[in-house]
Amino acid sequence: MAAAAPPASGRVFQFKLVLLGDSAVGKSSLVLRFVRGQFFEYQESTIGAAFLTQTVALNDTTVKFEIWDTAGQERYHSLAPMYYRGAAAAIVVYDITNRDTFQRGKQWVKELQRQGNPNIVIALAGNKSDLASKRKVEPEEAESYASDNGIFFMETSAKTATNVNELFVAIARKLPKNTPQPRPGGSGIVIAGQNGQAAAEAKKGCC
Amino acid sequence: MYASSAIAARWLSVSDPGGAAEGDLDGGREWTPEALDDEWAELLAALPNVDEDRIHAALLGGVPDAKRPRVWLEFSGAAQAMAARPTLYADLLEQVAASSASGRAETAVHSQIENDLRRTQVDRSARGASSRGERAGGSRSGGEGTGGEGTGGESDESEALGALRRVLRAFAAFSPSVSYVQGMNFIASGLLSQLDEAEAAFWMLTLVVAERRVGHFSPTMRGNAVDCHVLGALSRADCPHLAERLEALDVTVPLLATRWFLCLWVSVLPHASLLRVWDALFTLGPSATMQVALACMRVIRVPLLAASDVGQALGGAKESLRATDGGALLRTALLDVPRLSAADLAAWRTRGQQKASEEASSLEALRRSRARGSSQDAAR
Ligand SMILES: Nc1nc2c(ncn2[C@@H]2O[C@H](COP(=O)(O)OP(=O)(O)OP(=O)(O)O)[C@@H](O)[C@H]2O)c(=O)[nH]1
Ligand SMILES: [Mg+2]
Repeated sequence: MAAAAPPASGRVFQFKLVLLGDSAVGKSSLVLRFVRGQFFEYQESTIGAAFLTQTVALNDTTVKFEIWDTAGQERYHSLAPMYYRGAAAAIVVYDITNRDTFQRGKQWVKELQRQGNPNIVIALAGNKSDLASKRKVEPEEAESYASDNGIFFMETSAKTATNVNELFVAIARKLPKNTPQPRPGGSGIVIAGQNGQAAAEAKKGCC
Repeated sequence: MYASSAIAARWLSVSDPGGAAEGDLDGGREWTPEALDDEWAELLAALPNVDEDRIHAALLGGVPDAKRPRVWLEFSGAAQAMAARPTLYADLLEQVAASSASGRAETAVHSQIENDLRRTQVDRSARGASSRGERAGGSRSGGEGTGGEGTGGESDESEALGALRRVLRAFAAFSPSVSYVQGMNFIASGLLSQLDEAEAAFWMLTLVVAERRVGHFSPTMRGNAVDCHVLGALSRADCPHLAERLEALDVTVPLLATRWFLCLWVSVLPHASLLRVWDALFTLGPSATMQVALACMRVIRVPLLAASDVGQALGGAKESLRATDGGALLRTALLDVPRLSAADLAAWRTRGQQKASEEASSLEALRRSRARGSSQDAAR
């Protein structure tokens, strides 16, 4: 919430940002903390993806994020491309108390670097930093993985709000601001035009 | 007894396009609660030989709460499936208990289920609503943004969680290739909110996942892509103008409809409306889901046409669905949108299947070409 701000000046840039990572690592919680300043002990599991927007004010510009918070369960993997397609930035989230989620995070980074937008800005977030006593992934390890792969890393806690705004602000700073209003393009699932049985009835329902 | 007048009423509302459309709250005949109750009793007794028009008319009147469990179970075929394999549910639970005692591989599935039990909030909105004297408006079943503190008694809650756990674990054991997929938790929880027996909920879930939503929960989730293509095509025929607008906004059908199909509208519609929709899904054939989806496209048409960017489009769509009256939605789905026969649906799905596999292979081609050109590989 603290990051929300009225436009600092006339220059507003809009970017698509996607969150990826294993189920229950805290993707929705990070977004909810950032957008609404809220946290819930039991956050509803995400199906498909949820969409939210939030703005970040930098010195003389405003960055508006169009955020896609995706479902983390492995089964939903095949849906992910339609959400990260054309994304200018991605936050890959893992849970510092669960090593498997770190491995899964690395796979997401790899997939984004291969199949995502070529100039995508990727952040790796080690979430649940408030649970330090249950830690299974050391920040040094994640940091060195991140620098080897040309992405940046932060530990966060959606629960305590630690580093949450900082994470989004850091991404906002890294995004290129030379071209005004970069609009993601590309081809996703286009609604198929067909002359079906239904066509006869179309008039009745249509505007 | 009521059949002929019900059919007559339906014909009236169909052949008189201007008349019953707006402001008419029953969309057909006026039902007294007693007449409606009798009609459902007759329909149940007449199964499986029931005229579809007669079901439509009764659905527009509504299913009495007390009859809902039987109506869902018997019309859907779940009751018959349960009767045919009376020990299956208990056997599955035993199998689950044995395998978790021996600490075998199911643990990943079980921990995913465990993670989600408390992250399935429709349960609270449904069960808690009447006892708290709150209208079942579903305000708690909202997506992100709602959440939070448990309400209701502690033991009530743990009992509800236990039933949800058993149903999901039994299903995962029943169908290891599908196993547990998020979305099922919401469907199971919605079923449990109405059915007293967890066993009945298990059988309904089995039916929904294995027969009605074929391929939606499979490893590739191809069924979802296929149905999104079908919905896209039908919706374009229904309103070409809307389809153009969506393209201009870069809003694809899967962005709108994935949750509809994977959760069957749980926490998309208010709870009371959800029940009306499920009444139709479970009493009618497989086309009903698509007709409801098409009706939803009509509901969200106004905000979508007014939207100037993706955010407004998706936000507007979500809000309008969250305020949708179940009776009105059913009327649109059953009376206004073009009726889709089972054969039509199958034909559309064949076409959708083609599109979906084309998409999958072009994505795969991209993956391979990028992988070849990439030196990141070695970095791991
Ligand atoms: N202690 C602690 N718990 C957290 C934190 N962030 C999230 N959680 C909890 O972890 C659980 C999962 O959080 P979600 O935000 O729903 O996780 P997700 O990544 O969106 O999960 P999916 O939607 O299933 O992909 C919730 O119960 C949260 O309360 C955190 O920073 N610290
Ligand atoms: Mg989530």
